[in-house]
Amino acid sequence: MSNDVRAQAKLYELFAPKMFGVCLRFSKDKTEAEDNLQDGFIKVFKYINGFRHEGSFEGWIRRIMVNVSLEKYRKQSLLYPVEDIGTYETPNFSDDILAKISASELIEVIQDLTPRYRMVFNLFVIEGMNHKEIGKEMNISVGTSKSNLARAREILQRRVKELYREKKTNANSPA
Amino acid sequence: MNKNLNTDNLFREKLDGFSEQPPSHVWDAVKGKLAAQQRKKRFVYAGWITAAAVIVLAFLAGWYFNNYKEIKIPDLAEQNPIQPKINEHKKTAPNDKNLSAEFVPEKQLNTENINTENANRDNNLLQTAKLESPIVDDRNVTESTSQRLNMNLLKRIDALILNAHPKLFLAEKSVQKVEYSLNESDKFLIAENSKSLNTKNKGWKMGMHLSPGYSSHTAAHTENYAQNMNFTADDGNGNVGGGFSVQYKTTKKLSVESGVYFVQNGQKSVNSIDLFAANQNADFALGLAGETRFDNAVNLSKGNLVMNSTAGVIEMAAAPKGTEIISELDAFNPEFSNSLVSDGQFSQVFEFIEIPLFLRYKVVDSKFGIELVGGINAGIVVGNNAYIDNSYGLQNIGKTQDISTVNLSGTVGVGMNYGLGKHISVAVEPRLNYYFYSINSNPEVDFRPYRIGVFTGLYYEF
Repeated sequence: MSNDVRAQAKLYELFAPKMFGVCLRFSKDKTEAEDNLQDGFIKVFKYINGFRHEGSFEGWIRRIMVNVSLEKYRKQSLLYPVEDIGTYETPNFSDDILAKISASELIEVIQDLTPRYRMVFNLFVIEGMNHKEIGKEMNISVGTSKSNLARAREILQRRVKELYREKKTNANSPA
Repeated sequence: MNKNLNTDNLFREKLDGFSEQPPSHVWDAVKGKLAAQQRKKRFVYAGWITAAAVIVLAFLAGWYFNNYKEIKIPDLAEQNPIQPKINEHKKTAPNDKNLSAEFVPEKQLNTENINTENANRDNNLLQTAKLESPIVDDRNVTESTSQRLNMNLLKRIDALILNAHPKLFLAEKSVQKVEYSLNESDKFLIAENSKSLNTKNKGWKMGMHLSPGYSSHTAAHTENYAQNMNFTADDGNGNVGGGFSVQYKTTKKLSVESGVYFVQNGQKSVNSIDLFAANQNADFALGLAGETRFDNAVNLSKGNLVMNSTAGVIEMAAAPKGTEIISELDAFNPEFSNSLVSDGQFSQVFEFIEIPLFLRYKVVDSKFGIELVGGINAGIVVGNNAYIDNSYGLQNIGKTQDISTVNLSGTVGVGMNYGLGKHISVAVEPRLNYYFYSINSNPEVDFRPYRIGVFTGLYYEF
């Protein structure tokens, strides 16, 4: 194994788990996340000379992963029409849920969203983009981004509640 | 709103630092693809090396055949049996092995030459092939290339890991953090967009331009001067300028530019039928409608013809071909001034080398960019000619007098550029250039050229 490959392996080892976490959030399932992680790291190694030490290296890699997911979304977006359903009220999360729910469970819930909701939610909430930036990246209007976010939140809130309720029931039911 | 924040916070807190070990086959696939890319790259290198080798071989072949022809020259001597000719041939080829053989028939001498040359050529080609085609042993090439890459990559990663590692363990998540990461994500965008031309904050840019444009002027003259001038139709002049520019980016938006431009400025003058500016004292022939004529008052001074023109006084050694001088012979009390009459038209052309000092401001900064440009130029007059273009052709009739060598002008423009690649961009930039002061130092003439040009060029950013 040459030094070059060793260095790449070291880099991969260091960042892959976290980046896999990012890819999982942006994908519908594990297989898609693995594909994105693979494509993302190939880009990282290809463009590593272009990294200009502006911002953290981890942030740079993460941005590449997000971009890979966005590219894939742009290619696939025609396949998933998004229905705009009216909003409905969901109660607030209790501290109890916050404490108990696991990251993997949340990721599963996010993965169940339609691609556009998933994208908008991830970009806004976790990546910290604003609606204008999201609109630009996803070729949608600011209004669409906002309504998609609201809709994604509602769905997530509902699913989290459901999940929690199921768990609670299971825990209390006799064996 | 509160509820939304609650949801957002829940997800953010749980997920921002979330990591999971990816299955090992992902790394295997990454490794496989990288190796494939490396092979492809090697193939491209090999392609270039082959191309270079072919060029060298072609060059050697050309050189050989050229020499071959030169050696063939003695063939001519073969038909001539006279002894001194052979001696002469020997002199012409002092390095030849056959020099020692006194009586070698020309033909034999010649073929041996060729054979030796052939052998030399074969040797040369073999050596060249060894030198020029590392494809034979590509391990050497790849090893040295990859060692270089390794050094680079390792150095970078060592530095980066030191920087990046602590950030892996950032546990604190808050709304402020989101703002920070938003700002950061912009930075990453910039970092990743290394292909874009406009991402560097500092750096040099060189440009080459061609500038088709239209030149004209504003002019004013004292009454006295105008009285001896009968131009009634002045118009501008279409021409092409060009040059080189150098820009230095001082901040992300601002850059300073200088360079060297060559531009022309001038105007054509003909008399129209509407002679509103006609001088009462001048005698000249009016052109018919549609006919171009140039008629102007002239003075005779020290054997020269002196004439007032828009940009200044022109002194002619003699009347140009195809022109006539009309003169009243009553020298003491002339009713009319002397006149030069001609068909065709008069033109004055000034050529400037301009050295600009411009400031550029980026309004739109992306692949397609818009810039505002403005500044001053030192315009050095390097060409100053006056012409009459009539049935005898374009005749240079002399220079405009009193033209200052260095003049100051101002430029404003709007540039549109488009990035073609990492370093190269094309730009189209309409600019207006106006001379602040008269370029003629004669107090009776105020002549200020201006030019509207479309600077079209290619830029290279370092």
